[in-house]
Amino acid sequence: MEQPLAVQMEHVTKYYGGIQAVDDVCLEVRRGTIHALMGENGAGKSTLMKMLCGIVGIDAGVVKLNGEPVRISSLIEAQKHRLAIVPQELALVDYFTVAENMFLGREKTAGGFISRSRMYAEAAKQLEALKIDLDPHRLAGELSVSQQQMLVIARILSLDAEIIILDEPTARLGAHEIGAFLAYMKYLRSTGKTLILISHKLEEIFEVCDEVTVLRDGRVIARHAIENLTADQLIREMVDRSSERLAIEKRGKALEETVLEVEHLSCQKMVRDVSFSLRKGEILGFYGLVGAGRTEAIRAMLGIDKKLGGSVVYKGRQVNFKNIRQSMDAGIVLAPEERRQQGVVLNMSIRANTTLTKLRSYSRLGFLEQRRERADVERLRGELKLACSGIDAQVSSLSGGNQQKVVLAKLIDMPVDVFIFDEPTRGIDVGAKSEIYELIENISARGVSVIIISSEIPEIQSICDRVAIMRDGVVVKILEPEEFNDAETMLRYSIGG
Amino acid sequence: MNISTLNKSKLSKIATRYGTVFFFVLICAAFTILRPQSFFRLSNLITVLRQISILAILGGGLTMVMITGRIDLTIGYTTSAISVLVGALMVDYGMNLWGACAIGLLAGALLGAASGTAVAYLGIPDFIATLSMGFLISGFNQAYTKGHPISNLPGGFAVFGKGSLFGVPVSIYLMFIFLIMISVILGLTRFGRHVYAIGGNQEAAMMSGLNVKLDLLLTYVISGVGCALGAIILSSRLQTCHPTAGDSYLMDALATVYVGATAFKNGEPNILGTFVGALIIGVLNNGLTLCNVAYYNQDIAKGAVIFLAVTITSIQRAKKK
Repeated sequence: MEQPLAVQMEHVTKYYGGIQAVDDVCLEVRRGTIHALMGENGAGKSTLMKMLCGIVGIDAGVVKLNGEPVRISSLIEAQKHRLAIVPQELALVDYFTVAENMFLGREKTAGGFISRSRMYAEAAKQLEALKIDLDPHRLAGELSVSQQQMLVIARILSLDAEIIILDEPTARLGAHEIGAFLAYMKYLRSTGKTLILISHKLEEIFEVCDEVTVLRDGRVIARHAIENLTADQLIREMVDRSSERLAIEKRGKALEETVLEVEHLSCQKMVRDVSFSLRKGEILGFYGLVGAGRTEAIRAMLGIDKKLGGSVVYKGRQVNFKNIRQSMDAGIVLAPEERRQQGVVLNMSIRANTTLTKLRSYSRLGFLEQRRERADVERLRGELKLACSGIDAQVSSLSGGNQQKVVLAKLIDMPVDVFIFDEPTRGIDVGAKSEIYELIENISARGVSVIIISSEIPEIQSICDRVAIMRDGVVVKILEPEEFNDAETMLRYSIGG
Repeated sequence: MNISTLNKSKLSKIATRYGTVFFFVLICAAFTILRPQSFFRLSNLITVLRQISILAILGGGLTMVMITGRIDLTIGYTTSAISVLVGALMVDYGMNLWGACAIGLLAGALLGAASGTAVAYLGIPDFIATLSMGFLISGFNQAYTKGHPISNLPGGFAVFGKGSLFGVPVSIYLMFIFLIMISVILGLTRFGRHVYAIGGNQEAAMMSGLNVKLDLLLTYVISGVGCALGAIILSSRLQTCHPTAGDSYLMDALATVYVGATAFKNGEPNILGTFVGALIIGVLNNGLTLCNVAYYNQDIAKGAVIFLAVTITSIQRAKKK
């Protein structure tokens, strides 16, 4: 029996700057079904869903709910159309109770005052009807992540949502909680709700979904009923074939001496079991989906976050860095992912930023030798082809690519044995990208070992000697060049298909 | 871009940077017109500088802390406490004045280090950490003195507050030495660079391998030393060590730094600005007194003028955005 359409997005488009994040996408979701949106990092899934529920504006195209064209420009308007989203970051008031969170903004009152008894009674009644096992009196902050997620869903359902978007709802759940959550999704479907699920996990897609739409680079690649689909076919569709052309011949490097050996590293945040080795002069890629724990593993290794277990052997010695100062002194440096938050001080000059990591070498009795500093920064400016009005210009006046060059300038002329780049080209235009690749090659040619965390398969393929694939906090596979030339293989390991 | 818009943007840049200075000049001009015989004279200028010396020293130390984005609410209480300590060392324990002053400066540094430890290493929010530390300092001070001032200070002690050299009061020299010292630390040393980096982006500073906690602690130490220097000048000038004499400097010093932040640098505390801020407060007090405004009405004028100074610059800045 064909169900009528609950959601129709017709030829919708979204630009960010000059880039088309969502390009002429058509999406159809049938009432009372679970519809999966799949795609690689940056394929446009989350943007598309934000467009649907009014968080992000639509540049072109039409949205219809239950056949009626609608214009939704905020979450409140979405709520009026009985459409709701469960975001990745759950927004709850931690020190409010379950009931208070459920009724936030529409508190039950009696004579102008909040009626606690009415609110708790009502919450208990609704939770029972929704088959959600939560105590209305408990504080939201005391709940587990999966309980908090159920609370968000309870709140949405008590607002009469009919169409519910779930953005990677199982990403932060433990294995034992996922089964129950999927069962609840099926229960919601049986009550006639329409669910749109963003997920990377193939097994759960095949378990609960009715239909799948595959996105790639902001476009719809295919739409399938789940019965007609295999995991292999799905992965093939998610991967961009054209990217493989970029793979270049690897220089025949003699990689023997091991510089860094990490075994069974774990930490509180998303890192469960990370083992890899890094050889002298090697470029090792770290690939995985967002949330796989790549950045977190590196942070734990460097002592930025607390390690729980595992060992790190560096240059033949067991090390246990307590903070990033110790790892820097030992010769391991990190160009962080969040450039503007962690890489540069925006309201300081290029000069002051560049030398911030190595002020000790310019300091005599605590005073800075500014003439020598200036000369060195001028030299680096030339070497890195930094486009700026002068080295005393504020870093905030630079483009993203040039800001990234400042981050590299901070680290490049230090005594370094291991250079770690976290998403070195994110948000950077093509020209600056190739310059940064060139720099990485040069650093590696000096005998420095390099780790590159990247979410872009072509980037990894074109510059890395080996690739470690992470999934759910675990390094699941180390791939040699002949293996990772095939993008499908990389994606398969990172998704677990 | 055509010439007129260029000029306009330049003009508004000058207005945001030097608006507060211009405002200061305006106040001076007003008092010069109102009191032509007494206000605009060298002797009166020296009087103003002498009056603001303690405030500028406290504001200077506080500026260092506030550049990192933190606050130090102990400064008034620390000033009172060090004043009593120095007095007690000389009067109750018969120590000579140089020894007492040296110990006073050291104690100021230690009290600063205590606040700094609470903020940087124990991770207590700076406002509540220094507020409670201030109560503690004040409490022990009151308990020791039981509220009584210490007088009969040795005669030589008067040099800091009342002495002069080449016709200029010693306290003015001390103020300039301290402010120049802070400027040098901020502008020319590694530690100064760290202070700016922490204020600009603490996370990036940490990721660059800075010892952020130690640097934060040191800013409080310097603020504490400033308080001690202020305390010595204050008790020397009053010729008595009163257990609450320094308390009221907190609010004026905060105003000084905030007004100063509107000058020269776009809303960031800076030493030259702090000095201008202290001058504005000093000239107001001085000029209003010369104009025979009763002291109980002076706070109205002071509040209004500070409010206006900060408002003008803030509006300019909002326009620019």
